[in-house]
Amino acid sequence: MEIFQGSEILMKSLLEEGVDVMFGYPGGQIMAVYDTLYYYTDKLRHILVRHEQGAVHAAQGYARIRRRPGVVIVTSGPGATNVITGIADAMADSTPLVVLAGQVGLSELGCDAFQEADVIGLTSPITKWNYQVRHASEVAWAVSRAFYIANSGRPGPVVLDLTRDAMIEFADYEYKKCDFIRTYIPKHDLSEKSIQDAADMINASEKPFVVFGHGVQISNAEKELKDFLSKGNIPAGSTLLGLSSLPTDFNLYQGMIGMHGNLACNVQTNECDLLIAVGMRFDDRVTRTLSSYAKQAKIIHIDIDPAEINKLVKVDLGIVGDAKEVLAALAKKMVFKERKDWLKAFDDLYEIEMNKVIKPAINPESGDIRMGEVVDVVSQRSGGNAVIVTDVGQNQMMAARYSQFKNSDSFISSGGLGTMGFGLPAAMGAKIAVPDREVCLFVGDGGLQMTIEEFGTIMQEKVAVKIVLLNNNCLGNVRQWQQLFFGGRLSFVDMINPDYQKLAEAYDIKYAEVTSRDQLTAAVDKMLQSDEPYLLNIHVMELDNVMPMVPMGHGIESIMLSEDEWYKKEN
Amino acid sequence: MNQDRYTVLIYTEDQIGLLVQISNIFTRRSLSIWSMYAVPSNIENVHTITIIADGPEEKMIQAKMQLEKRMEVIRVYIDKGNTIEGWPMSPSATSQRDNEIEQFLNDRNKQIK
Ligand SMILES: Cc1ncc(C[n+]2csc(CCOP(=O)(O)OP(=O)(O)O)c2C)c(N)n1
Repeated sequence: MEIFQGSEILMKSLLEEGVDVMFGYPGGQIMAVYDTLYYYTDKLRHILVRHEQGAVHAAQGYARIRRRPGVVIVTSGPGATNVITGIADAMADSTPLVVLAGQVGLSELGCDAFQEADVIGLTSPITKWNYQVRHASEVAWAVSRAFYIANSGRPGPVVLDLTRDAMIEFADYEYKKCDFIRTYIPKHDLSEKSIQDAADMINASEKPFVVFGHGVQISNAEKELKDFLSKGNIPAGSTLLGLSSLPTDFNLYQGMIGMHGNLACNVQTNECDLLIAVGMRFDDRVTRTLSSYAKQAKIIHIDIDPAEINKLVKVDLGIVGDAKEVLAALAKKMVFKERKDWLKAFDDLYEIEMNKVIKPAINPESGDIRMGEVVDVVSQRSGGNAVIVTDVGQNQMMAARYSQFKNSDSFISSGGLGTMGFGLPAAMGAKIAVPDREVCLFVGDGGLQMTIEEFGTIMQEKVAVKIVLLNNNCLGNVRQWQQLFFGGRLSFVDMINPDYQKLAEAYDIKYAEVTSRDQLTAAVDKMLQSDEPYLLNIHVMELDNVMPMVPMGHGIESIMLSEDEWYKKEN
Repeated sequence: MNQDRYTVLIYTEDQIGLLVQISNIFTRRSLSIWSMYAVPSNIENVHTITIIADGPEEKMIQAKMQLEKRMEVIRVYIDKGNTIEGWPMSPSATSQRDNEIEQFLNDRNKQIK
């Protein structure tokens, strides 16, 4: 066995795990690692971000699209605390990350040493696993365990708190990939009985509805989902993070569920006789008021995480398992049913939404440019092939509602935590992960300014992301709520924007501005034709609202179609 | 929601910092911990943490599910009431569960390649 310094063991271990890119920022306690990294740059690409929050969101963008852990490397103290938001975001959205944080030396731990923070204490509730590495002899073991835990079962973030001693000591090195932890069962065996019970329930149902989430992509179950739906002729709706698992034009796909979801999906959740939830966790943005959610229906919940079953929605049958395996097993037992009336009801509701909401949002005849039409134009002109990344707010909901998808892995957004500032670095990480794909970010003027420092990274690394700024001079989402539910009192939502052209020029980012509808398509085309980083600043309607909307405190059948019209069920 | 008293018995690997993680899982769900007792178990390298806590059953079950997701937690048992006569724990109260855990770990250990 050969002997190496801890920091070198770390590099070798990362290479063993197939790491090709890391996002990071150096500093005192991680300097030994950066010094070793200096000799490894031919094998490990390091992206120097401008703020550690940028590193962690970029790693999330990378991880989501590559379906493997994103790697972050930061120094102790402020470096580590700056990644907290991203770690919490990754935990909420089941994104695999391995975060390597420097830590002071063993003798200084607990002494309030310079740049000492209790990283283990701080990150315990927001990590799948965290571990303080105290000696070089533990480094390889900890790294292999970190990658295994981060990317197996329900994925999530892992933090390794690397003490200085562990990085500078020498130890024997041998790498053993971890694929087993005796207390951890990432995947449970399928129960033949529950598959049969589920198949019987589905085959007996006249009006089944599938709601699926991120779990479909995580378990690589897109094909199995499609087969299962086709065999049973079952309509399906997606959560925000499930978007792009099915092509938008797939005949049984009905759109998005939840607060700003499609009318048919929400109405029919409360009309179906059987709700089949796949790889989703009944987030409150999806269910709204639980006491009136799908009360009429029997419910089957398929999820890899046993803790999700019966957590919020009480179900008739819970199946703990990998979506791919469960759906494949179910598909074999499906009986095709015509379901003419049931499917037509979806179409009828779509028609209502089309006339009342979608057309005015994407084909307005006059007035200011609307966010929806921008998303629609980008989607059309990119042929539904782009990776759509969003920030948080109205821009996110509009991007989710009006993007068309041809392929899976085409939608990246901060769902569970709803982190403004996620978009720009996540788009950067996604583009670095898949340089051959077009990556378009939709972002508001508020969210862009939260992590705008990453323009620097984009410039330095020449990351050709296309940034579509939906500029409404305000915090649109909050403004919408204040307008609708807080008596129109617009409290601290107006923003004076910087000169984005000057900013873009300062960072060597191509820039164009759109102020009227007739410029829109040509400007989008020009942006898509460019192979450089690009900022398209589009001045959109300031008082635009995202509709339909199921407001706070309402059940999902209680839907606003506009500021002054609610959906009424036709009998 | 009804507040009841529960005894939560947690088998864990020996791991620094686990007590804090475990108590966080209770406090985050507004489950109040009345007492907490951690000792090495009769099984080699396995510890038990016994928590007597008050709260609604539903939240208690959620806490159990979340506890079992922690990497070093082996298994969690919940019983209604303060089931442990002669607190702290009488050895007989846990012996059957000790056996179950030992069996589980033996089976798992056999899978180590
Ligand atoms: C870090 C963070 N702070 C605050 C919020 C609350 N919030 C949600 S949406 C929103 C407004 C977003 O405004 P903007 O980025 O301009 O996007 P728009 O809604 O106008 O598209 C705010 C403040 C949040 N989600 N994240």
